[in-house]
Amino acid sequence: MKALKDNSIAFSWFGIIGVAVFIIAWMCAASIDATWQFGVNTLSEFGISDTDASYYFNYGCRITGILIVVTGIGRVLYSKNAGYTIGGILLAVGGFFLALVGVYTMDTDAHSLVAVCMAVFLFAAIIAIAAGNWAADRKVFAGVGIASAFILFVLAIAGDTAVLEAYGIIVAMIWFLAESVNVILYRRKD
Amino acid sequence: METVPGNVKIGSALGFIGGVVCIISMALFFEAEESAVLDMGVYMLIAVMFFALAGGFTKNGPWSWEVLLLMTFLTIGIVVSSAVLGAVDPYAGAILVLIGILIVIGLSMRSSKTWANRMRF
Repeated sequence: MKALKDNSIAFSWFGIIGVAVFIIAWMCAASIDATWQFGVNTLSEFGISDTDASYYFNYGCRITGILIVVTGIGRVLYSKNAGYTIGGILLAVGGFFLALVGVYTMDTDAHSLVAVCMAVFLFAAIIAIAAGNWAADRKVFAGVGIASAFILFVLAIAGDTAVLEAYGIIVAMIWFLAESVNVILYRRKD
Repeated sequence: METVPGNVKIGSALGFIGGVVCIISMALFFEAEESAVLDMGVYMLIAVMFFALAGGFTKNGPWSWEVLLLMTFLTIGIVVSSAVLGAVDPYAGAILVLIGILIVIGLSMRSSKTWANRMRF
């Protein structure tokens, strides 16, 4: 039987590109819609903006969501333990819901459900992949995941939605970049 | 007599510096208002965490290398979330996060891991 060629580095690059796409979309939307304020307005308000910011945000969410789904699939394909497998599945599902956030904007009934599902699945993915890193003796990267999950948990219980979204997404993006670097570094070492 | 690696000494020193910076920040940024008790409590919690990290680097310390690393990340998490929620001043928070990252870098060195896991009960 032909062995599966390890293309995990290529898959992790999709994650880095996804983060870059979201940052660019966010910056473009914020520069176009001057009424939006960091930590005051929710990110979803970009989606129903009267300006072109809605296009940038909605398409940014869709493209980033698809790229995260691809990264999650890569995690599952080249998984070395149960934590990575479960984390990859949760990441792919979370990415799917992120893409749906760009489809079901704030003025639709499904938006809240889709946004909450995205947050819950991505949070669970961070914990599962941190457990996988711990089991695989990648303790530093596991620590980054644990710290990220802790910050998100505290923000969720103590902060309001606008603060949680704005800072939570920055924390999630930092974790995503760290995790992509983790895959690239350790794949080269193997 | 066992030679203590430089990374371990620096890690312990950074833990103490983190704790002292936190106490000084608490005094500097004190504002007499109703929520002052909460803010002071958070500053003191972070200071205790940093002093505990400094103690974790000592000979016959209470934690293994893995737990020490986990506690460092947990401390960074507490500092970041407190700064975001406004309990800790953002500038003081940035300095404390930097100190935490330097401790993580020190812990990541092979000599620190070997020493920390050998010098336990």
